Amino acid sequence: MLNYKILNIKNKKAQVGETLTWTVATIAIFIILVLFVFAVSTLSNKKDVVFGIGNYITDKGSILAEQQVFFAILNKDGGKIKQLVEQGNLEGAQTEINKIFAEFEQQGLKCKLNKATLKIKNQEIGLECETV
Amino acid sequence: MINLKNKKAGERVLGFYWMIVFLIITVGIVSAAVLFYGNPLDVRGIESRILSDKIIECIADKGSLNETAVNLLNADGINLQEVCGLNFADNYYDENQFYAEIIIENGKNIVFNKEHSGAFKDFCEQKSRKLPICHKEILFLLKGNDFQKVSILTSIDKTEQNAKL
Repeated sequence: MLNYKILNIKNKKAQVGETLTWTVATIAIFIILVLFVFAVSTLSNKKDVVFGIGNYITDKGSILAEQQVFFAILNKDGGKIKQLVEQGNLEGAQTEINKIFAEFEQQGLKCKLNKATLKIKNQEIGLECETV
Repeated sequence: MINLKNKKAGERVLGFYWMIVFLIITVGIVSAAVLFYGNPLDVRGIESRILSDKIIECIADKGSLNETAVNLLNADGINLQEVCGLNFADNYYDENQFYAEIIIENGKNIVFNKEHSGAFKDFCEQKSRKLPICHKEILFLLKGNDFQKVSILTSIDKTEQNAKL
């Protein structure tokens, strides 16, 4: 009888240990899920296609607008810059373009040459702009 | 025999916890899914950009100002929809949900200003999803050999369809 009693106590301890583990695990799971629901709730309020500042979605210019500005720059003064690019004189073209960019920036459009959108006689050249 | 009985009891106790854990996980996942998919996806930002692009296509031609379109827009009684082939009608709303403004400047002088109806412009500076979403585009186009600054402001209201009120 004494042996049985000892056996019983040992078994109960094991049960208590296991139950305690799962009680803590349940609380942990509950907390993780609360955090998960909170994060989802925060994200769901920001569900849109483009994130932006204020109610202006973004300051970055559209590709179509950048393309038109680029054409305008290339065609200015009878296509002077285009000719420089075609001749492979990228430095000369860049100097001219930078003068135009400075003029644009004063009027609220900041542009820079960095993206290859056009290929003129093996010269890859492009620009990207944002409103300032 | 005693051991076996104790094991059974242990499983029953654990079974109760398992039920609670499953219930918590189910409630958590379902409520997260309902919360996320219950909120509408706001596409007004993209919509305003598309509208802006359509206007650019209309008034710009290979870097030059499309003077035919601009002259037509200047004429009385002709609106943006007719000149640029846009449709501002919306099946969901009776009131107009679109706003568009085109300003063309030569230096500091405004040489052209055309507005499509709607008074959303004032809301653009405010930050709220319950207000119209705006997009401003600035570009420079050639008129002759001079650059003309073209500012296009587009705004879409459609708040009920795109934002949880």
